[in-house]
Amino acid sequence: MTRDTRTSTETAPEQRTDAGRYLPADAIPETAPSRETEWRTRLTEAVPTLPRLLKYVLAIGVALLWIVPFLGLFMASVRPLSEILQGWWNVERMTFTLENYRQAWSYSTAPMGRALLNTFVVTVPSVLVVLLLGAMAAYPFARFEFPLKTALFFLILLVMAAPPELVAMGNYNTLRNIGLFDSYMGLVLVHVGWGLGWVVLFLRNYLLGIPEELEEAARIDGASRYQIFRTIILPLSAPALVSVAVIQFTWVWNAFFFPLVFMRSPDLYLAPQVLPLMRGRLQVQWGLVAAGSVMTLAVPVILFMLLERYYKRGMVAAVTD
Amino acid sequence: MTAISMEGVSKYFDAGNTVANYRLDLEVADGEFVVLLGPSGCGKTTALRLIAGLERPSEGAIYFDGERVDDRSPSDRNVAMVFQNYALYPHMTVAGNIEYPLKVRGIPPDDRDDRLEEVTRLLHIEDQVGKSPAELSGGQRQRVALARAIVRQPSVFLLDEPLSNLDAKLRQEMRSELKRLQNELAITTVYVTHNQEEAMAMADTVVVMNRGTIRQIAPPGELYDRPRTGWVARFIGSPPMNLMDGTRRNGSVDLAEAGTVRFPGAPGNGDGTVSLGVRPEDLSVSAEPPPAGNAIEGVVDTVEPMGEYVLVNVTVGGRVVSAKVADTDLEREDRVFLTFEDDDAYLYDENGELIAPT
Amino acid sequence: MSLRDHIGDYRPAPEEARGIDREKAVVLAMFLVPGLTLFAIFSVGPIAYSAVGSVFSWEGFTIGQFTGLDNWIRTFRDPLFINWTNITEMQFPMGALAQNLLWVVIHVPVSTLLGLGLALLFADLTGRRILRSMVFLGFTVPTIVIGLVLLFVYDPQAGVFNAVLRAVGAEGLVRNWTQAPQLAIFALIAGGIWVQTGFSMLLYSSALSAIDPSLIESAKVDGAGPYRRFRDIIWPLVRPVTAVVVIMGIIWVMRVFDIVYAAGGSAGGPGHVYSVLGIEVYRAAFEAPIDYGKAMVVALVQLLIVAPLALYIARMN
Repeated sequence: MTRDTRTSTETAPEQRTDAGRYLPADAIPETAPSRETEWRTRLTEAVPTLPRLLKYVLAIGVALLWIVPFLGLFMASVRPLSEILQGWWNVERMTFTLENYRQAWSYSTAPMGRALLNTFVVTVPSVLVVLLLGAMAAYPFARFEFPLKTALFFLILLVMAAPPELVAMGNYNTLRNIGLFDSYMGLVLVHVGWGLGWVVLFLRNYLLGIPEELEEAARIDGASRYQIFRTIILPLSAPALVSVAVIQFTWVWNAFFFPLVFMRSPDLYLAPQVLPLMRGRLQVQWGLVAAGSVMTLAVPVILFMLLERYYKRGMVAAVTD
Repeated sequence: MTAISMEGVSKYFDAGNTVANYRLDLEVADGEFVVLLGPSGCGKTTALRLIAGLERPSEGAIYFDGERVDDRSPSDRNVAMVFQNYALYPHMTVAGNIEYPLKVRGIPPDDRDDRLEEVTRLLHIEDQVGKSPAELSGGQRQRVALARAIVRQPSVFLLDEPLSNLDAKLRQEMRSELKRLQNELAITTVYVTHNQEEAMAMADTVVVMNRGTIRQIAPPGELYDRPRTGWVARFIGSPPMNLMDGTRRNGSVDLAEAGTVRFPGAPGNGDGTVSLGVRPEDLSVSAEPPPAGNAIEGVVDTVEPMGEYVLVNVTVGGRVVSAKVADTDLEREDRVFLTFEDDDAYLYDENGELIAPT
Repeated sequence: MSLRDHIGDYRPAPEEARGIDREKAVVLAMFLVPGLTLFAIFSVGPIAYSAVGSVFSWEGFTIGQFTGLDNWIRTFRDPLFINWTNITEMQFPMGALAQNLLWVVIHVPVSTLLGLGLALLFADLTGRRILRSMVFLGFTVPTIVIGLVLLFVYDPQAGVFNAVLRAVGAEGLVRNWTQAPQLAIFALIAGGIWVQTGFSMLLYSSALSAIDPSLIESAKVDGAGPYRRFRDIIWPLVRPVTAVVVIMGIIWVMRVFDIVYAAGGSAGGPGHVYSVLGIEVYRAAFEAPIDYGKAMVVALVQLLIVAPLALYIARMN
């Protein structure tokens, strides 16, 4: 048996309690007591064990390796061509210049300033319309039975698997026939039609997780279906809607193939479309390409950093659900 | 078989900002059934994980049979553990789960089958071996987890709130079964729970923990008879001990409006703030003042007939004191007197340490 | 609408029930029609259009006679689509289909394994969020930029890859990797892996973090070392995700277009040495001489390869 129980019966008369063997309540520290140790001991304790240290070195090394190309892109965007050709990694005698950005911004074929604006003009409505129509269509998919539901489901899956090239021919002819070829509106419609499939499926899966009791309670309180959708469903799916918005924004912004096919006038070019043009004829204008690229990728990358959680969660949910 | 000893073991998290355990000293004898009891967040699970080797102590040392084991991995300690959520491998069958520790240790298939059969018979789960954990009920999962722990005949058996996910009836059943099993196998067992009934029912020794430290180590009987601090007293018993604040003066305790209680037996003659403790089962309630002896005056708040006894809650000086009585016809608002034997009273000083009885 | 709506559910008298049905139909239409119309016109319609068009002859952008499998046969005999002679001689160009499948065969396993490896490596490190984001960054960047970055990385003069080769004394290997006929496709595949590993890692990371930590601890107590813990516990539990990772990888690769276009233009590299199916569709449909029939067949081939996989994912859930 334990030492403590045995001794408690042999307590000496003058020792009223057995407090001596237990810590008094006020002796318990809130934080670990700082020990008067030498800095050397502290240092050795702070350093992780060797295998773990190696793991850190490897992990950080790999992560750095992964962004080296982007580092190069950034370096190239702020240095003159002559220095880039010597290698962007040579940092002695580095000249910092924004000349590349200035040139890209007013690039003669299609100025980046204008192209970025065009990209915004196409991306924002593409995202908003997809959000609205997608959420609306997802609601009956999650809650009601209706004829052809399974068939629609199958079609959505088929479209999600289809390459964008497959719809290019049909949409090309459609847009030409309705006079929307080579216009913002036409490209927005193509993006909306293309994005709706995955958005409906994604939001449907999310809505399935919202307890039906909430809606039933609202119905008993006298809310109409439209009111339920607006006051219960939409607010509750806010996180999913943010995920959809971030991912759809990134995809539309980054899209290259659709603009390439449907935007033909240089003053309607989208930013990703302009970048390959900047390569030039003989000597690749690395500085120009890099500056244009950095401006183009800045938007989705900043968005990703700000809304990383939603982006990642949405990505995982979109493909695994 | 193994004796465990912890000496001054502390565990800090978040670079020292959180103290999970502070200077634990504990001896567990070979074959003993020790229960770590405490409220949630008291560090009992961390203490168990330290013994298992899933955590390394920040300070202090842990010995198995006198051998220091701090640096040994869990697999080198020959401990078996049952987790609160059972941690059954969802992709393996029941048989796969139970045999896994044997397989890892390279025990030949024939031996494994024998031991599987033996242990499933012991726990009455012979019919479940082909199923996957998802198909089992809570109680069956519990048994599988126990089987997996027992099957490799560990020297130490660690259980982390193993019954907390079961319903009340099943919990009672498993409680006696666990105790029977431990008696039969005589494996040193450390059991973590926040349920004092479980602790009292099963333990050879109960270790009461609070705020990361040990508050008392005692066999169940002694823990009940002699709670070392007011905190422990309030934690043990159902309902727990009544504690009334008062002032100690010349061998008696002044409880303000509730009256004065004589307390001649208490050692020392210090005056000051104290708590007077009496267990509900030691209180009697009567409408008339007793001719002699100690009495506390109060007003009946509620009467709860529990069948086997009646719980009378009496308001005494602004706080509720509970008394367990066999029967009563008292009603709310009745003025009553609570009486008790001198021997049944406990006195705690302002730090909550026991003054009397010694 | 509101009152009848919910009372009706509790007292479904026949005439009221019909009313509910009509109401439900109206609600359904209101919610479904706008989205489904756009979806039909701009996604389903064009796919059907291509499916039908693939068995007709084409005059520019106008549909002509029904010609049966003519377009299909013609396409499968087109060396730009699949070049049997070069395949047997192990020489590029092998045709877009062969090159695209080669891409799948290398890219998918490597990016999957790397993703799993990095997910495991980062799993319990402090700062894992930043590390993961660094690896994932490439997946958020426009793929056309990825293509241009690859061009830059592999440049004989300004490229960091050749600089590394020079630094390790492999001067002989220095070249313009994206324009070297027999090697360029591998250089581009490496770039694709670089991007997609982040995505595989993300999926594996989330699968890993979904594992109940007590399972791992239980295995530790049961006596399993790191390797056995991986083999017996972690891997079986993340295995279902592997199917998703692999199929998403195949879909991604079968669609690859921007990277190839950035590196080799609409020709798909010098002499089409690393052309892929998407590139062939684009050239056939939108660059003279226009061959809508071939474009549709190639695009349908792309779909036919991935459609069963997508259905498999859907069935899994």
